[in-house]
Amino acid sequence: MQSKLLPRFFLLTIVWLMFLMPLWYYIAPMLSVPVFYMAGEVCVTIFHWALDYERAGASGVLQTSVKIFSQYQGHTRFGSLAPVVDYRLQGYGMVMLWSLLLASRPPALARKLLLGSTFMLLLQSLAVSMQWLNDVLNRAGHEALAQTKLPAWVAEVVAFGFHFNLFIFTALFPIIIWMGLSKDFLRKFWPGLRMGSAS
Amino acid sequence: MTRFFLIFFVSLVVLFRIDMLEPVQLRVAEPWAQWLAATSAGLMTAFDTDVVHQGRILMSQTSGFAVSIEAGCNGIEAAIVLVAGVFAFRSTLMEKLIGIIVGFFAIQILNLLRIVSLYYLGQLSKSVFEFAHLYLWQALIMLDVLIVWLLWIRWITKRTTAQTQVVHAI
Repeated sequence: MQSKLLPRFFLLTIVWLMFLMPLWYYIAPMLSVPVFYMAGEVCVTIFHWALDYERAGASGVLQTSVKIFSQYQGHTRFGSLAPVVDYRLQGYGMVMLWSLLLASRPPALARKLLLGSTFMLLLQSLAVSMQWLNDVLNRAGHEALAQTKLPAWVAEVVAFGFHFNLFIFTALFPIIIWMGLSKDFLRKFWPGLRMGSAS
Repeated sequence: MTRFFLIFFVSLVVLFRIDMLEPVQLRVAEPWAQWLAATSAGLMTAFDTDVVHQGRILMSQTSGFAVSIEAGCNGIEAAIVLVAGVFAFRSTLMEKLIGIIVGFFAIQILNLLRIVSLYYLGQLSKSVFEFAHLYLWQALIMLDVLIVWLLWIRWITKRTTAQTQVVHAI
């Protein structure tokens, strides 16, 4: 029985993932509403140059007072920097969490789905903020960074945080939440081992 | 659990920082991406002579469609997560080495499947390619890491149980 538990779980996870991911793709604009709200409010509250935010579909725009200029066909053009983030790039972890929970079926599944999804939305709002910040502090050039009056080390921390989140944390975080919400399931196949006992 | 996650996250951050260093990107990640492209092309030419590779780029000679294996698509980040998970869990050095080596190959085999599938999906439909590239395969690769890690700890559990039974029998 124990030997079949893991293969069955993985198979179910993949089946749920395949089934739920197209669905998630279409409801992503709705899921992005609280994410852009939280990310936008945090940025506008903390940074003087962040003026406002708006959402269109699954994309969110941060309106800033940071001025940028570009050369186009011999003309210098000025504008305000307004980085755009696609929520789906930061949000696919949600469907991973749903699939893992539905495949492992822990007790109080509905409550855990709700709780886990709330955690995911919070983290995704931080991820969106990080991408907006990275676009302003690192991708828009030295002039943009100078206008924010933030030190260079902040830009470096943001660059690291952005890449760490993009390449690792977006897909890892749902697994960590799942581990926290499915302890009973995890204990089924490693009864003699405790996760606290690291070497 | 707290201690496990502490060691796990510290290892993760340190390994990812090392991965981001320019010399590492230049001397490890870049040649690795080129090797992945060459291996993918080698696998595909067995049934499709249209595919060619140059550096880390795979290209169709007839359609001109090409994919480039960039950071995030080379399986290194997934391997970093596995190494951190193996490192943080109580086990012997030999068990850790076995977990890392076997796990690395398991990740890279799936990664080759990802590259090959994306190459063909991209020629069929750009929207399907983007869906598979940006969301579906990202999730599947991390689930692969979870599968490998859970199989590894189950293997350790069995070994530990068997060793305990031998000691009791003696």
